[in-house]
Amino acid sequence: MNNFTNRRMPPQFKMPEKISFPKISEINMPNGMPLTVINAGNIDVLRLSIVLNAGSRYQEKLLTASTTVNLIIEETKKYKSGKIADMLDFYGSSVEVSIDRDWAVISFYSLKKYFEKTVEIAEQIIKHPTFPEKELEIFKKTNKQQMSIERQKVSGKAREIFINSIFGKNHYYGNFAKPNNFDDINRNMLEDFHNKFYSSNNAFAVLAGKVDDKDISAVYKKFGDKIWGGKNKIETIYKPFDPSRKKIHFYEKKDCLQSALRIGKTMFSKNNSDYLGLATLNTILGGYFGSRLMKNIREEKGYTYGIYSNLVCMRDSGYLVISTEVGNNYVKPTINEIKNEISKLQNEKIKKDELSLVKNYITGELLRAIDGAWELAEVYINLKQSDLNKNYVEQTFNELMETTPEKIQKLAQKYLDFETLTQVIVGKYL
Amino acid sequence: MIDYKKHTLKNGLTILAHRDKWTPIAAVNVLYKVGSRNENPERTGFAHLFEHLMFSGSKNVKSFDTELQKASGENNAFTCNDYTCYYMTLPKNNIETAFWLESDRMMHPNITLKNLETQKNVVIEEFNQRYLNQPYGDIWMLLRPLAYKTHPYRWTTIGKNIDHIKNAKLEDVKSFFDKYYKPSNSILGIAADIEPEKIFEMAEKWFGEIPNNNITVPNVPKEPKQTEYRELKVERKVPISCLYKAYKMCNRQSRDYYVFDLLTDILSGGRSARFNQNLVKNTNMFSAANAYISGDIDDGLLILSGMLLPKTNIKKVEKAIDNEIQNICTIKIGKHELEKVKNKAESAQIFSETSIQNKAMFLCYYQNLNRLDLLNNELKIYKSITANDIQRVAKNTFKDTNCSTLYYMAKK
Repeated sequence: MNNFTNRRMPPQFKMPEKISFPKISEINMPNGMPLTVINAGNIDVLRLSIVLNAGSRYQEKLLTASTTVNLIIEETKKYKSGKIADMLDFYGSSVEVSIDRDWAVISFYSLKKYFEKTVEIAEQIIKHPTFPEKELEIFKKTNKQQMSIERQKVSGKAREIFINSIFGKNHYYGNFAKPNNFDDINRNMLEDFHNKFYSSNNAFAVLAGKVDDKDISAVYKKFGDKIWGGKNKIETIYKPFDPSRKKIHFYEKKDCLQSALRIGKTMFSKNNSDYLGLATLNTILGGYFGSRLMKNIREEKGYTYGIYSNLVCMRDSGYLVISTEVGNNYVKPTINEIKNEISKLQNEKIKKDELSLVKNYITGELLRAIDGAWELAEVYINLKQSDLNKNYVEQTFNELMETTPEKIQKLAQKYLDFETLTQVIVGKYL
Repeated sequence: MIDYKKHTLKNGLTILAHRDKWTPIAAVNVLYKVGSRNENPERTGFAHLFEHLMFSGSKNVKSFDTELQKASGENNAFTCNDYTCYYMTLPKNNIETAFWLESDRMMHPNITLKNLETQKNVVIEEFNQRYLNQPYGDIWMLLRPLAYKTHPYRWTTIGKNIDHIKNAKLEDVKSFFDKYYKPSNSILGIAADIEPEKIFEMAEKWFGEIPNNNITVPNVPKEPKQTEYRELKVERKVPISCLYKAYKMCNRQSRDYYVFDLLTDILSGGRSARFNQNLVKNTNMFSAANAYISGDIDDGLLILSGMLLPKTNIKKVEKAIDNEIQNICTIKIGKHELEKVKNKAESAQIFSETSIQNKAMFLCYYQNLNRLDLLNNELKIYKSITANDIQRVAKNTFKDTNCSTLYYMAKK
């Protein structure tokens, strides 16, 4: 009798017919500040994010925006330095801050039973920080040092040169702080920045987790009741890019074992009608482990531990960047292979099999991206930051399903001409 | 709380299944009870190199990743000192694909010379990227052999040196597989909205026919008790010096493990912890100060580390850390502080269970410890810990003769 399992035939699998963002409620609180409630999960935990239109593009001096958001959690009018940290730790709550060119996000994670207490602390942090001199000095010293360590890495240096070069060193999307920029920061600048940009007029809130009415009213009470912070709505100013004319940048680092490569160009924000197609093209090129670059340069040639291509979006621009670290003697062959892979995408239509594989993979990524309260909150915030709404998830899936080999090829021809890409090499060019 | 059902196949494979009704995603974990601890001291880095080879496809699977991606899945793996873990997530409707892929590579992976040569290269680049071409990347390569003299924890999972990878032979790789990658030496952990009985049926179908070698994994040499103070001073091209102090601690099964965990939380768990408040904020000498435990199964390490600010004397930094240690050894910690670290431990556990991937991982992890009973009972242990426990463990641990110090100096 032979009843061995038939291993030759892969098991059947099913693809979803539709993917959509679950039901949410979007409310305007009495003071006009939007609050979105995402009720998800069965564990008694919550996350409250306050998203402020207060990224680094609005600062007059480098590092003002990031120093502000990092220091608000140190001390407030009501709670002396150390007290906030102690209270949050005692409740098992935590606070996370993040900053990019456009936005500052402050997220509080808490057990449900301590949520009201956590929101009370959150209010103090967002509305009444004091920016004590002493904390500022410590922050400047420690971060100055971390920055110099980052800049010593070939990858850190390459990233900096790349961003500088595609947007322009003095542009709000292209500038890059250096360690000594910390010396110019003083507490008045932080106070001014906070006064101007941290306000109910300039923010939205997202509450996710196992939410009930009590939790919502806690947020209302502290953030939605009266107008708080500066009264004016912030005008977003646009400034044209000033990219470097040079397309190839080489920065020598003498005794390194590997060189870092960054190759790419400016693209656009999520609002562009080519965005979703380009995102699929990016996945094929270098956006997942089975990508063409990874297969060729890591799995076939073994030049690197990893190579990726990323499509990054900001509010009114974006960029595509291929990044890797390779042994110094592999720099030239790697650049050649990147060139080859791009021409292949431009000259040959992608085979049905590969495209359907990529579609299935991206479908899985979409499902994972909206699985769980924290993930949903992330996706929602991301969409709202680009003036998109939750229906975009469904649209993403539908457009993905309709993508054709012709479309991928056209996009590769339209956007990926190798001559238009900026190349940055940090390390040794043998 | 993670409820689960357990089942063992005739060939020795242990399966643990947790049903989570709140997600359409399934998490599948395979843990092999082999890590760098099982390596020959002359052929280190092998367990990790082998992990790379497990992605080269198998008899009926041309490409592991491709087949999984077709079924909307994603996966990765890691090797640590104690075990090797392969983890994936995919839509629960496609879970059979996971069974097919994992069982096929457990049965007959595609280990060829060509794959070996490529992966040797990839691992060498990984070695360069993560350990050698990175400021501070070699700290653990220095600290481990200082703290351990006999136990295989004395080398890192990437290996002692690149030559061990370069010299790996196909027959060594094959015999490594025959020795360790067997059903009775592995654990399958699954978290998904699927009946455990259904999971056991599928496990029987896909893994049941894999032959088992009754292997006896050789005992790992025990590390003798350290009786002398050890130190090492190195100079590197980094922007700033740092200091590492490694103290021997108990094994993972001991109740004291949890005392150590709280002890390091008191020192540096969170922004309100002592190192941050007293050292970073008050001495003007540190840009960072940390305390943590290594989490190994056998006797592990408690690590204290300090990253200096410019123009700071490393001896003064060491003195400041010593002061904190003296304090915790001599002054019993107060009620508020003890309650705080316990609350933090509770919260950390609840938060960790929001991830389906974590839940599948925990099942395998505790089974590998042979302590599934701990899975849902650690909070009870944390709650039972007293200020006396903390003081006792601190006093027994923070002794010079139990310490290995690394002075990692910035070259001028």
